[in-house]
Amino acid sequence: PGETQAAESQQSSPEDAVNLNEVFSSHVIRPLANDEEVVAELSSHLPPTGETAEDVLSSPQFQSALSTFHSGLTSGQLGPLMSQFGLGDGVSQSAASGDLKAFADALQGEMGGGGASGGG
Amino acid sequence: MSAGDWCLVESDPGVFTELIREFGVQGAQVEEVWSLDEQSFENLKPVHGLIFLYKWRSEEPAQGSVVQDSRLEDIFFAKQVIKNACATLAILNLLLNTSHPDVTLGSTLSEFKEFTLPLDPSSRGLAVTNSDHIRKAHNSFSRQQMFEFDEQLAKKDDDVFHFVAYVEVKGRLYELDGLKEGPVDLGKCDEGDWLKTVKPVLDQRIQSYTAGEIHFNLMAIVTDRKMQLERQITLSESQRDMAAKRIEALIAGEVAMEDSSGLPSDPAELQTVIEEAETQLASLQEKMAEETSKLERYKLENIRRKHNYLPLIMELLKILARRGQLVPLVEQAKRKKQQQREQ
Repeated sequence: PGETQAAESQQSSPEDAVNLNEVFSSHVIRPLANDEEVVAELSSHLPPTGETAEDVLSSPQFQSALSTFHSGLTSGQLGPLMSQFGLGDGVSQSAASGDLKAFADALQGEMGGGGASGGG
Repeated sequence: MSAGDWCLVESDPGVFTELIREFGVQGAQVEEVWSLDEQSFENLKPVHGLIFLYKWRSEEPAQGSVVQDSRLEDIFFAKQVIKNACATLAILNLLLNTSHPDVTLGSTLSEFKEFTLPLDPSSRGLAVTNSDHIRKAHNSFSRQQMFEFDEQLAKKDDDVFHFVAYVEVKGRLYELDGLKEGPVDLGKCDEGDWLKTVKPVLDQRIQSYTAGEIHFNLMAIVTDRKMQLERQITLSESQRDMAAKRIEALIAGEVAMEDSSGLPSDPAELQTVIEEAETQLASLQEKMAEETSKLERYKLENIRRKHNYLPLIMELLKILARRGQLVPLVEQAKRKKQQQREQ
């Protein structure tokens, strides 16, 4: 450990590039994994180990999957995948751009969670 | 997926143990080696071979010389002809050189060995890729089952990890590296204690890495621990029972018969033998319980590894997006990162 400065998105400058593992830190995961509504929606997607959502979301295997997803996203290769999850063209295009922030904006817009925030 | 696509396999004893079991191998398991000191090797014995994982560099310090004589007939060596198969290749190069009675190769690997023995190292490497059974087992541990994407596009650094095997064959130590032309002869070693010969070789190799760059990992293929513990338990139990019988016989006044067990004929001494066996048994049972819970943990971790997390990640992102929390979370992570950088 100590030097993983590679795999940054080409679009954004390295200073403001965050990865999904940083977004889903333990501070974020804990309250989410203890929210009954969230747990109910996630339950069918958990591995068949009988573990709690918190155990799964904080496991190294989930974090590794998240990192692979992030690499796929920032390389712009996940665009075509979005329609498989019932998402529209806006989300696909933002995913194809390889920019995490643009993807978050588009997804939140489509899911009705307030859309692209202007200033930030 | 074409025949040439092999996944990268995580360097982890749980993964390797399940992998060799899926190949059909019995009586063996894989343990991580944390230290090269005598004691940690002692706890792993018998060791059937070592697998060294490291970050591949174009210029490796050369150790030993490549075997080109008739010994090639005795050593199983396959060359790596496809990308990312080096974990399986190192395992095969190791296991197919094992003649230890504890290890049973199983039909897949025995047939594979028989079929490929007349072939040259490159053809053997190719035969690995043509074995459906081996390829399926290897690919079941794919890290990228989530979706097919080109990792080269995603990753800028071209870190390549490579696995090589170290084995003892007929009193000599060999390094089996699928990227080399043949087995590398590292000199004479003691058949019963080859680990003391491999230690300085590994020490030298590890020292060639710059300090702080801990991109290597060592694993050992050892005898199935539970099988070994069961044997030791049976031995201690019979020792205890024989001593108890002997005490009974002595009390009954039977004349001690010809004794091949090496047990004392004094009741107090026999009592000590029984107590020692009991202590030994308690410690063996404890180790057995540890081993059982370790295997259960491996099983759990392997289910996690083989799970497709894509639907989970998408669902999680959607939930957060619907609640209007996704964008703020990304921004929050960004701010946190900036703050850390400014400190």
